[in-house]
Amino acid sequence: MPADLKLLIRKLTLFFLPFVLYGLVVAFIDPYNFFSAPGPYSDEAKKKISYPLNFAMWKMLVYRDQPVPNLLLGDSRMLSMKPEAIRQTTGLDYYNFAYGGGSLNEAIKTFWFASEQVKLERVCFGINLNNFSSYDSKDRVSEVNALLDNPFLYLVNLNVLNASVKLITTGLTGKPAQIGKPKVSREQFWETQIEVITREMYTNYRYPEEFRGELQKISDYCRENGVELGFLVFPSHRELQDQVPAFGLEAEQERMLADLADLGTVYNFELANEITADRNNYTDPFHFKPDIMRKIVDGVWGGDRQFVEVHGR
Amino acid sequence: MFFNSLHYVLFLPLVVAFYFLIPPRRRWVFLLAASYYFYMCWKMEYLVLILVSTAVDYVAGRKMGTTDDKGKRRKYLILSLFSNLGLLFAFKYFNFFNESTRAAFAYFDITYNIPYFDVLLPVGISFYTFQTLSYTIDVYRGHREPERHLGIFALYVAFFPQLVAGPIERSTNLLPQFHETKRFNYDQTVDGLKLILWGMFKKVVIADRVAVVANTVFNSPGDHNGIQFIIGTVFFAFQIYCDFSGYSDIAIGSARILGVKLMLNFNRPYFSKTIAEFWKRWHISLSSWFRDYLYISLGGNRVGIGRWYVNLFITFLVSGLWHGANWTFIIWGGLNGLYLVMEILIERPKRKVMGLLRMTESSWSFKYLSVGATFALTCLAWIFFRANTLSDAFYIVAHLGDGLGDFFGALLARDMAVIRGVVKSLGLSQKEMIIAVLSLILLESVHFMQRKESLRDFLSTKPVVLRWAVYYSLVGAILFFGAFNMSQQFIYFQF
Repeated sequence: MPADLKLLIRKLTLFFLPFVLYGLVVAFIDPYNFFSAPGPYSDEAKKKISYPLNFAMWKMLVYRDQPVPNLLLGDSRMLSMKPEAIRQTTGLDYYNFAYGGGSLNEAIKTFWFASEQVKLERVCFGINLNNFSSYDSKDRVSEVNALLDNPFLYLVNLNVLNASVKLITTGLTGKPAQIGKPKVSREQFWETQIEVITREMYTNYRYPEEFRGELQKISDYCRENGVELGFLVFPSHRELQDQVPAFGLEAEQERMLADLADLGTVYNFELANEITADRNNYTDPFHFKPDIMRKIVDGVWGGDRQFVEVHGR
Repeated sequence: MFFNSLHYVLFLPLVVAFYFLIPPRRRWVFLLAASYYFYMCWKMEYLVLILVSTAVDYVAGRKMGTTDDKGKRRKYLILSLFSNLGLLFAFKYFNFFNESTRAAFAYFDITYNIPYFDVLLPVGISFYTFQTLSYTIDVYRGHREPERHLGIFALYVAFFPQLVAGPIERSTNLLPQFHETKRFNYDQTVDGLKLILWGMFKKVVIADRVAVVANTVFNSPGDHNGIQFIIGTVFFAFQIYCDFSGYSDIAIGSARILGVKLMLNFNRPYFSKTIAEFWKRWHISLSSWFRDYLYISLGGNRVGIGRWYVNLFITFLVSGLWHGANWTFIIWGGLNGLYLVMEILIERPKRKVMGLLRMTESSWSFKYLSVGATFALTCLAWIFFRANTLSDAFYIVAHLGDGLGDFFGALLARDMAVIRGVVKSLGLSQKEMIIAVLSLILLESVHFMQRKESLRDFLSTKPVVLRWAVYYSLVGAILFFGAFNMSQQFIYFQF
């Protein structure tokens, strides 16, 4: 072997050694249980840190190992629906496949991911006007799909790196990792949700023709495969409901409800009633408290129609 | 096999290792086999087209070498032109002309029965046919002797680093290198690896990420307005540059490891002060091909002034058509031709205005203005290049100013709802957008530094710690910030 070649191999080995060592360490820690092998940290410790850093990655990897035929898909509102509460009402196991800050785009992609893992039976999408919009096409699911196809991408994923570092530092210092935003008062947060977040969503609102088409494909798939398909429109606080006419989006909301009713069963809780009028039922204009969650479960799965209108197939 | 795939990461070291281990006399056989394998990874059947092109041009070249009779030599040149351009026409342009004719006939209510030719465009066909054509034209013009060794000639046509997307090499540069005995060389290997690294950075960190914005805007123009069109177009300008120059860097770097020097294909094009300069810095191997084999053949600038303009315009129109069988590419080419003619026409008035403003070509204000104006004109032309249809392109151009007042008003008022709305509607998350913008700043900073010397030369004089820190940063950026889940095919593969 020429001396030049030997020198090159030696230098390249030295250069790439830290990357190889890094890969080995991350694979050993395995913060999202990608390799499902025993490691230095418990599942509980991993979930505490890895899950809030990337809901989609954690949930998809859990689902890959333990698929369930009944799904809940959507954003943080659907995330607050407890599968235990549904089990108590129906006796059925549901997997809550919703993500905090989730988009419709992610819910659609998650549906197809789940359909590849197991024969689905019941699927419920959580959709309100604010996330039934082309404006939010956030996608954390494709990233996970890509690394499921190529484990190398898992090792070099920034979330995985972040979670690994936090697991190590938490393990070494014993202090819990700081994940999430600093808290502000409820009133301040409420105002921000209406004045900033809702304004941003509705100023830039665009009717999601593409997602409507994607939901049609899902509806066709469900019909062909005998999957029960439902859409849950959550009860927002009246102040948030009032933003729809304020931004001139009533026609879009009506069209959304009609379109969803063509695709599956719509459970519409977005109504003017004593639940949505009372601030005490909410943590912020979007998010209801657990008592309301139970009423929603009763409305969708328990047949109690007091606070819900049901449309569609 | 893509350059940014694991397949290639395994393929290249294996080829390099075997290449230097086998006896020099037989290396061409191995390199040719590796090149054919590389090509067959896309579609095995289309190798036949390369073999046909190779055989015809080899025979045409040899036959031209046996006679001084100009008439006979011309016949062999026509044979080469006919077969190469015939292949190109059949696989790339037939459907375009066929469908355009059908539309014209339909307009006059005339029946037209020639069916659509349902065929996949062979990858790299525009590149290798132009490369072999340059050989036969050079032989015909007496600029080089015919190649006697069929295997070496086949390797010239199919050399894998530049087979599918160039640089389009000249026989005078490439063929002699295949006759030389190469030895493994540490410095040139490291040099090649650095180029590959930089090319990969441009492709997977920048091009694939900014492509999301360009695709979002250009795939649904009806959903967007002025500021989004402007950002989408600027991002496309960088996507196509990073995608194609990244590919060229990897090609040149791969070849360099094997001891072969390919020509420079890009030279900081967005720092050009005129459109003419831009075309001396952008896709240099193709621009110089058109200059040497079409523009000069048409008479170049050694004709009357009107004919000169026509020559320029025709050259760019054909260059547009080379890129794709679509009216959008033809208009893009035509627009660039028009820019060049206009540049010549306004040269005198420009000088007068510069004199009045006491500006010289070396003043910074003149440089910034010129670079900015050239970039803006280039971007305007890119709209036609990227748009899915001609009507989309005209829609975008017509709506470039829509909502700009509102947006800048919101910017001045720091209305974050509107600003975040624009950013979010471009298809990238806030984090991804920050990475995209920072990497573009890095790219242009490197280009700015490179006006005096290449970054590799600059680094080579620095301490090893600094050099390795830069290499680690680049590898780390590729691994951790590479847009692997947004991965796009190299744009120029479609040509």
